[in-house]
This record gives sequence, structure tokens and C-alpha cells, in this order.
Amino acid sequence: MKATITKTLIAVVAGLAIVADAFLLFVKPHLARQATADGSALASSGSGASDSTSSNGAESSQDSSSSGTSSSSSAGELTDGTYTSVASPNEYGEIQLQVTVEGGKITKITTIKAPTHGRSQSVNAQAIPALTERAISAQSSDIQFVSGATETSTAFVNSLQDAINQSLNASK
Amino acid sequence: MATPHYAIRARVIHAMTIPFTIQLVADNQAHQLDALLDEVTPRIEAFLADVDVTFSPFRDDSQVAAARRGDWSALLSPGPLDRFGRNNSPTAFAEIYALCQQAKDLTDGYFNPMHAGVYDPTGIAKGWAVEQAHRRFLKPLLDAGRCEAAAIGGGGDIQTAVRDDSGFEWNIGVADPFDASKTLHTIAPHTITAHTITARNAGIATSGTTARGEHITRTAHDLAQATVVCDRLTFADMWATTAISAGEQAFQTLVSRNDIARATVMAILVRTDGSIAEIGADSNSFHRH
Repeated sequence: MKATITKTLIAVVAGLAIVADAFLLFVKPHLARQATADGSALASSGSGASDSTSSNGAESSQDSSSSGTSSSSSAGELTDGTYTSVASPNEYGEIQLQVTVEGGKITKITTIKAPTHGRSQSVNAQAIPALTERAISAQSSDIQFVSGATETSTAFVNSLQDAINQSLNASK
Repeated sequence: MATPHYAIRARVIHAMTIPFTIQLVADNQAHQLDALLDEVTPRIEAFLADVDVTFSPFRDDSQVAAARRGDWSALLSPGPLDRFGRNNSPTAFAEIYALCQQAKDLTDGYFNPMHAGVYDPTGIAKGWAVEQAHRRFLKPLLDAGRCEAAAIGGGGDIQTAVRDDSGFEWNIGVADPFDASKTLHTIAPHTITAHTITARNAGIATSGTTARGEHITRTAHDLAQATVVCDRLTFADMWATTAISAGEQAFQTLVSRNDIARATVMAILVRTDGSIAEIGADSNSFHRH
């Protein structure tokens, strides 16, 4: 009898844990992103090349004085409010952007470091297998890619890569 | 077991003023690879063009140029990169902005997207673009069983992947920063690389000393070149830039204090005196020959 009660209790606790996990996994991020989706939808009609072009002409003279927060842009189709968006969580954590719109313009951008929970850990777990199969060898005769610094050796790396591509395409 | 013969086909795309190489691998079926490349190359080309339209600081019509003029509305307004139908995710512009802030934080500001008060996400956007192109267009080919391995690289930065059941491994040569002036046609490709990295699923990025002084602020000058290997090219690129900016000691400190970096970051550092330091991910999960 006691054993049955204990088993039931364990089952209930496990069930609750699963529900909580499911909430964190599916519902919570969805809630967070809902705000972004709304913001995007509201703003989408006002975005586009024409806006950029018009603000370009109007503001080219004050390039140096404009700061990130005090916008005098003409792209003012945004609805006032605070929007929170969650950038894709990655192995290093989760960054939230809080964007404040006042008077149709973005007046404040805040970055919030979200604590990493179980969800991020599952991302990490998926990343780990890749590491087990990586090695450095001193020399190898067949190379598919060249990694070099863009800053110093672009032309060199590009032409070397080109030679490799050609030899790959010529082989059977 | 005998090594199977793999067919590899390469295709080149010109975008963002540099050539990008796409390579697909299959077991002995080169003609099938040509058809796959025909299918996937135009889509990657269009994607990279959208990245350029969104992030190039040199284009007046880019969202980055708008942000520099004080118009940050791209954080909320979808641009050309966001038309791929993911309506409930942040805009690509917002994602890169967040990644830049994360990078600054992870590297104690050695990676700084706001150098001299001007927003320049180029250091993150390029690696991200290559990684995203791989994730959006090449990884699905592997998942669908249409080829065994796929990789894309541009400007010396590469993202690779191999299907789980394939034995293929990518070999990436690291250019010798001191041999860059030698002419190509007199030397066979494999003799001029300082090191070869063997990888399956990895992002590989190399950073060097900045001739033009751009977005890297250097506090140390002991490294001539830094190559970083980790899971995602976005972060490989970030760490490689950081190594050049911070110097060997500070770079080691930054990597070793972070659990994820310590477990995943591998680096080949070429010092200015020509000596080479290898920093391995702090585990037995990879081996050296």
C-alpha cells in the first residue's frame, strides 16, 4: 500500500516537472517573442528602401552629430511602447533586447543578459558531439579549404582557394 | 577499413566583395553534386546579397548605415533578410545587435562593435552570414540525405558539417602569415600551410594584424595571426578577432574563465616571432597527431 502511494507521488512529481519543462521550452519563449512579432507586424508597413533613401538625403549633413538614441529619422511608423525580443539563445547564453519607442521613434535600446536555464543547456548538449571528432594534424596532403586572415592575405587565400576548387572539380 | 573515395565539387559565389566557396561531398557521385550545387548556389547568392544590403556600412541604403544616422527602426522592422518566413523571431538586424553586445561582454570589450562611437557589426555579421547560409541551405541537404558533407567559406572563414553516418573529414589549411607574399603557382598548395585542421562540424576563422586599422583596437601586438575553431563560425570569428586585439595572455584568460569557451575553443596562434602556440579545448574530446 505504502509502495503504491510512493509510486503515485513520484509519478505526480515527475509529471509536474515535465509540465514545467514544457512551459519553459514552448510557452515562455513564445510569450517573449509574441511582443516582437506584434512590433514587427505593426512596423512592417513603414519599413523599406524608400524610407532609408528619404532619411538619407535629409540627414547626410549631420552624420557625425547623430547619436544612437536621439533619432531625427523620418521612418516614424513605429507604435509607442516597449518591445522585448529574444535573440536566438546560444551556447553562451541568451540576450534580450528591450526597445523603447516614444513618439514613433526608437529612443532607448537596452540589452539584458537572461540567465541560462535548462533550455540553453539542451542547446549545449547538441553542440558537444562535434567536439569529439576534431583534431589538429601537422600536415595533410589533401586540403579542401584555406583559412587565412582577411586583413593581410585576402588575395593570397582567395587564389589558393581557387586553385584547390579547380583541382577538386577536375578530379573524378 | 579502406578509406572510401569521396567525390567533392566546388562552386564559387561573389558577394560582399569577396569570393565564397561552397563544397559538397558525396560517395562517388559527382554528377549528383553538380545538380545539387545548381539548386543551392543561387539561393545562397541571394541570401548573401541580402546580408550585404542589410549590414554593409559602405552602402547608404543598408540598415547599418541608417543606424549610424540615428535611425534604429530596423530593430523592429523586418528587412530583406527577414522575408524567409520566421515571423516570430527578432529581425536579423536585432539578432546581430544582440550578438554584438554579447560578444563585447564575453570579451571584456576587446571585441567592440561601437568603436569610436560608430556602430560597426561587420566583425560579427560576416561570420554569422556564412554560418547562417550553411544552416539555412546546406545543412538541410545533409539532413535529407542528399549529400554526405557540406561546407561554405569566404574570406578565410569556414563553416563545415558532415552527416553523422559519414566518415568524411574536412581538412582546412591555415595560411602562413609570413608566406603570404610568395607567388602561388610556384608552390604546391599543401606546402604553404602552417597547420592543417581536421574537422567534421566546425566553424573556423582566422584573424590577422590589421593593415588598415579598421574595427580591431589592439592593446597587444604579440600575435601575427589567430585561427580559432569552435562549433559555430560566429563565435570562432569573435574569438579570433579578440585574440588579435587582446594578445596571447589576455586571450587565454578570457577563454579559460568561461566554461563554454574553455570546453569548445581551439586556437592556433602565430606569434610575431614566427613561433606557433596551440590552445586546445580543455578536455580530452579532441586529440593531436
